[in-house]
Amino acid sequence: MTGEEELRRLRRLLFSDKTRLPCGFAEALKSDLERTLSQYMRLSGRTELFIDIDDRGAYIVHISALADAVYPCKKLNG
Amino acid sequence: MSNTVVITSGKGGVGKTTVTANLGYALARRGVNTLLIDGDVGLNNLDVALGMENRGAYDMADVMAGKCRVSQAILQVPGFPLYIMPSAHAVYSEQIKAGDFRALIARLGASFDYILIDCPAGIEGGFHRAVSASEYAVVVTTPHLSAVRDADKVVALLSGYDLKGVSLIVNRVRGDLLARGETLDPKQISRLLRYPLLGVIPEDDAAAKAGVQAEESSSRTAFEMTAGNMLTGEGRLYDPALRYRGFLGAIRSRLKKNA
Ligand SMILES: Nc1ncnc2c1ncn2[C@@H]1O[C@H](COP(=O)(O)OP(=O)(O)O)[C@@H](O)[C@H]1O
Ligand SMILES: [Mg+2]
Repeated sequence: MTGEEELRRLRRLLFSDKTRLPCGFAEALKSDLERTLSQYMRLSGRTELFIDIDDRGAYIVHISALADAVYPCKKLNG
Repeated sequence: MSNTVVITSGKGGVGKTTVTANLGYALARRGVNTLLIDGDVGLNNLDVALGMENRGAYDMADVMAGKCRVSQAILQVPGFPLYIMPSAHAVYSEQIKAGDFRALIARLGASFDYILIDCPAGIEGGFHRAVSASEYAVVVTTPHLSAVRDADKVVALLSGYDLKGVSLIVNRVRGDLLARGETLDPKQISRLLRYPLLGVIPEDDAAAKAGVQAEESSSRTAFEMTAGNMLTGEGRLYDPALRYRGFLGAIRSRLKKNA
């Protein structure tokens, strides 16, 4: 096997190890984010959370949330 | 105050003990007052790597139990400012608490420039104890997929500790394979794991004989460069492939392949 092939295999291996997040990680993060977001706006749909990984191994977190109203600043401060 | 460095790995058998012993010698040859501590549970052979087995009457467990003074459990390698504290036997090792170990290391720090702790591999007992007593961590791996994969897990574990620095040593690199591009390059490993290389050590039978490396050997040169990097941060790396490059090197490489 050449070093190049080994490197490719290694990269894939580390990648798949990393994308295996700790059990319950995404659920816990999602519910914390929902709690934070609902202090700022009235959520009206499902929040979606998707964790990706780039080719350097950094995590990318995609969040999408739907809200039908944004709270005025008064509520934010109080 | 000394610098406390834990030498660890993801996988067992990649050369932690060999690295600890040889780095210890390389530091001591530069006049650096160095203490080596065997933190490996049950698999303790740092004393053997140094040719110092059966020399001492006491070990770390005796110190912890108050059966002897600290100085009585420390042996000097004749002719060098190099010292070793043998590990506790496996039965006692479990009883040594992380806090007590940390306190011992802190106390020893006053008397040495460097303390190197030969640590169990990441998944084993004793890992937490050794790492939480250290300021720096060195992760040893070989250029093999399974070893690098496990090293990646250990660097992730280490990121949970309050360390001043983490670096890598890639051990047992075969120069002939590296020159022909048939093995993982230590620099690529470092890039993938995203930690800097402290040293590159070639495959070399002489590495097993840390104490009796009287003459020059490739691993001795590599360990000396690694010790230099530790002391000055200069970042010089041994190139195992050097003697396999160029015209003569190609012949050497071919001979090795056919051997
Ligand atoms: N650079 C090297 N070249 C050749 N053999 C080595 C090298 N490093 C380690 N070894 C050998 O590999 C084996 C395992 O090394 P050891 O230091 O005991 O590993 P660990 O402490 O990580 O379990 C030993 O037989 C040792 O002599
Ligand atoms: Mg060992």
